[in-house]
Amino acid sequence: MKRLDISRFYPPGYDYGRWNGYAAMALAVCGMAQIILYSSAFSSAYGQLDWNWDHTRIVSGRIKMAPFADVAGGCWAPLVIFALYCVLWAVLLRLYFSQYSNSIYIMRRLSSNRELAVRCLAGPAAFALCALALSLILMLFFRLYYNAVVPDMCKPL
Amino acid sequence: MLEINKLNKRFGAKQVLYDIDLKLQPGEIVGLFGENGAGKTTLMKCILGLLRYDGTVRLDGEPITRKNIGRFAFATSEHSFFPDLSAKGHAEFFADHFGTFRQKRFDGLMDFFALPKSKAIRSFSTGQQNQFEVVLALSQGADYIFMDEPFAGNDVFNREDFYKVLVGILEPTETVLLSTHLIEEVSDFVGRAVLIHRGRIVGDSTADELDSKGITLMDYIKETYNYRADRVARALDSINE
Repeated sequence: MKRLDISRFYPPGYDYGRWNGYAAMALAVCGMAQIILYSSAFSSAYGQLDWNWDHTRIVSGRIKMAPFADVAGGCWAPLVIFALYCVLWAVLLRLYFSQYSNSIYIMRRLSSNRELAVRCLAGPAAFALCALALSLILMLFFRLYYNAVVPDMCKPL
Repeated sequence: MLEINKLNKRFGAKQVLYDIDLKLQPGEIVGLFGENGAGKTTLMKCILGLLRYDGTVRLDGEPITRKNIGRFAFATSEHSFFPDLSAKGHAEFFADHFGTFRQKRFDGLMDFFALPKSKAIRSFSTGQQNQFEVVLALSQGADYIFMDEPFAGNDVFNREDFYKVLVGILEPTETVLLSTHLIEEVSDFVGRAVLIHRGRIVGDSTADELDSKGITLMDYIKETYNYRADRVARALDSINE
């Protein structure tokens, strides 16, 4: 099987290994931030249920848990920030063709006008998609956790 | 043939090119001469589609599009290489994207200028970067090679030898449009001189026509621009008064 040449998705000569590393780190931070935000929102909502005196058991469904959409709503914020990071990265990749030299002059002489777009957008778009996929997977786990932990009597109607 | 008709260019309110009409035949080596700000670079960029313009530019009767833009190469003192890519990397990129890339010519010119192949171009001196720019333009395999002040910052030996090499390697179908201020150095090299002054073509003559009139390229340029030989003396007089 032919090995994928990642350098084709970035400007020629671009140190994509380093920048992919930064993006991967930012993606990991994004995932962790989502987990922290969800844990915090979930704990806060869960703590308001009707507990017994020593807070070991939920005793009634008098107080309902906040809907999952409300609890998890704030977890999208890191994804939005990461998406903005990807947009900024794409802008910087486009600027790369006019920084220090005008290599855009070469790109404009290529027979395909897709080449420039691919070299500016492919990397950031791939990471943005990874972030979206990670967020969806995390949301699935959050939902499963929500369903498993919140007693049926406290679930919103 | 490259045909430019009624090409006009404005930057905001300022018009920089006026009704440029120019035809370049295959195989011509044309010198484009003019004072700083005359519009030489702007004209080249318009032809290459790097700037918007009014008028028409046609290559063998066809407008310039992505289909035929690869028939042009451009060596510019603004530099158009990829700064972090090595010379070898450039050769691979050009070979990938320009089916006409001339590897043998690339290697030969790299050796001629003694340029390192594995270092990022960013690490080259300005003179070497200019040389590399020319190497790339000549190796692309383009039919029309535009050179805009290609040897700024290069020593006289490199320049003179290069023009000799260039004459030796160019094929009969390759057309060169060369913009430079080093008129005497290229006078034996160019077959035609196009003079541009404040955005207008003010002179266009072949080397044969100049020979038959018995005037040099420098004389032709001075005559066309109404160069006043007493300019320096008058300036010194007025300063020293």
